Amino acid sequence: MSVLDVREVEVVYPRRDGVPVRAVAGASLQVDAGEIVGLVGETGCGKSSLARVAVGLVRPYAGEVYFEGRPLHALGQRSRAPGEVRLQMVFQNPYGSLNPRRRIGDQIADGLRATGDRTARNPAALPNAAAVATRAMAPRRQRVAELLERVGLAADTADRHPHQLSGGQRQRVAIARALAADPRIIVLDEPLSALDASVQAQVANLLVELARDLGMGMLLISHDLAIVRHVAHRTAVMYLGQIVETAATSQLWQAPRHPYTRALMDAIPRTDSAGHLPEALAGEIPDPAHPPVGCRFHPRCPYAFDRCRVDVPVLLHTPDERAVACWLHAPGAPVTVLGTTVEAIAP
Amino acid sequence: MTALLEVDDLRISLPGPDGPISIVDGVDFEVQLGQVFGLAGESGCGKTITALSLLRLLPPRAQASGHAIFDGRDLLALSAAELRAVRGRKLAMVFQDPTSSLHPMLTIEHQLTEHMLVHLRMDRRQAHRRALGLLEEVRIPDPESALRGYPHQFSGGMRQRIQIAMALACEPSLLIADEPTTALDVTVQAGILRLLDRLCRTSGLAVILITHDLGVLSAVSDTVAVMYAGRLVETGPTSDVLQHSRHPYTRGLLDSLPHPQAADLPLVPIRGSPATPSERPGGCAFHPRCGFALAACQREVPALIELTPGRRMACPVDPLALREPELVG
Repeated sequence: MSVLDVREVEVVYPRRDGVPVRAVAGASLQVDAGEIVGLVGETGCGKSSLARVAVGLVRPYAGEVYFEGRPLHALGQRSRAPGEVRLQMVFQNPYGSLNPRRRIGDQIADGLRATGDRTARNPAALPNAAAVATRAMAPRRQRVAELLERVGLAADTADRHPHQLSGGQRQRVAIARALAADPRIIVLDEPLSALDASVQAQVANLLVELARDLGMGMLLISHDLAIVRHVAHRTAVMYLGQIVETAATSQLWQAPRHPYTRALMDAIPRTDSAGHLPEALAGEIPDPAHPPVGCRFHPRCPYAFDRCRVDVPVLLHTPDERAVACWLHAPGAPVTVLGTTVEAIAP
Repeated sequence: MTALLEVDDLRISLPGPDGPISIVDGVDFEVQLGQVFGLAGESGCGKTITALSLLRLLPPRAQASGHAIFDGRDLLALSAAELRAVRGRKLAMVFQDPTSSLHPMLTIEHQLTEHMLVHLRMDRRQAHRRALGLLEEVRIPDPESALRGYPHQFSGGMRQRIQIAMALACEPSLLIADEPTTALDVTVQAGILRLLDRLCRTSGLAVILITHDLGVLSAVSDTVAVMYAGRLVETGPTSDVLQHSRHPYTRGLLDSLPHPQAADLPLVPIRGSPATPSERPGGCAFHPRCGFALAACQREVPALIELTPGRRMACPVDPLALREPELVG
């Protein structure tokens, strides 16, 4: 069983006009230890809502979230259930998620207190040189220094305040704070999008290292398919509250099966495009309070046929560990523009 | 060919606790009619303030010097009255965030027709007709009812289209677009880029496109200038600069970007972070982050050398050519 298992979750928000909005309309996701799962989609597709459910910040309207095999409790008013501290979150804007008036070291130490300093016993998390250099310090301070070095910051960053750091450094601090709780899973909501290009690559590489070296699972929410390609092992594509395709990242890029996945890829501007304009996707993302009947993507889909306007496509799993929710891949589809049908790939 | 806009030795400084802080340090470039000029760089490199200085929208205590000859007149030396006649008429700007640059309590029609009434002295009916045409041009569905709407009723991409329509209202010859697609999804961004491209080709509009996204520039701009810490480090035709970059910073930026099409190339970040204006290092400002820096780079500001006509680069090491840059002329 996966460390984080989100099963058929729905998130419903009341809207001012009384119409309930299903921001997440039945989505499932699994994250294993050491695995980075990318979740991509346009603004308003529900990916942030799904992230919030996955860490328990929002209670699902329906469905369940399991962390380490046990149902996750939604976050209460005061504290987190002890077993669930090892499910951590990093937010998009480190300006907003760090307290401007407290020292970096104290903010990271909060996470240590929450776990009862258990982390000090995890040898994999300790870079050796740092461990030697900081042995003289108090254990908690020493551990903070180690965490800072782990994310590529100098140990004396602990004495500084958030405003003294650059955006990239602040995001590293936010990651260090999540690491303080010795997490098994970190959910990261757009952790790279507020960063400059040159710095974005640094933090992206850091995430890959952390997952590999500490065996940590990550759910990486992003609107940027291109960066997710470099970071994530598996990618899930979300559209209007539902997951429309999941696959190993390399497979997804080689042969996207859902027309929406392909549209997202074609819209990315390339630095070697030499004047070739990226492809625009027709139409706008529909109002989630009134989603289209049938496949939610059909009004914008260039390949939509009769069945798409009537029946809701189910997420079909194939033996190559991919899944796609599209009638083009079901038997009897009129066209096979996106390669093979699901039937054809089944053994 | 004479350029539509010629910026020469533009310098901008802001007051700091220990004297003025230089934000833009001797920038020069040209923008040709009907072309997209891309200004690229990371946050704090001075690209936005360069644009604001052309519209004379600098903060009150900022100091600007140099020349910006637009249509035969120096924008930096215009009187207030002359400026009013140019700004919004011949020279228009589109900002990054359409939510904060559209007035939330005025209808789209009010905002879209305002400068037609002032600059073009149209009456309301003429302005209404032109507004409808503009919304059609930027592909807003059902323009008639859109004109009666308010900004919050539109999506981010539609708001950005409306902002572009507003900027185009008086048929400017130069549009300055500051990160016009940064807040938008890629699918929506592609539509805006196509729109800008079409406008340039069909109406001869010139655009200064400011962005940190080299992919965006690759798609639409004719020439690019890469800026670092207030100076231009590399300029030239877009495909030349992006495919045969010579400056280590340009090269570094390209290597740190995800390559959607190239197989599994690793991301190679540039070490450190962009220099903030108050802490810019001496000499070549990029030297602390540069893998090729020599001792001289710490002392001397490298000159922007012309490699071939229209192609300039500011790095004496020129590690990517592995030879001294050839001087032209």
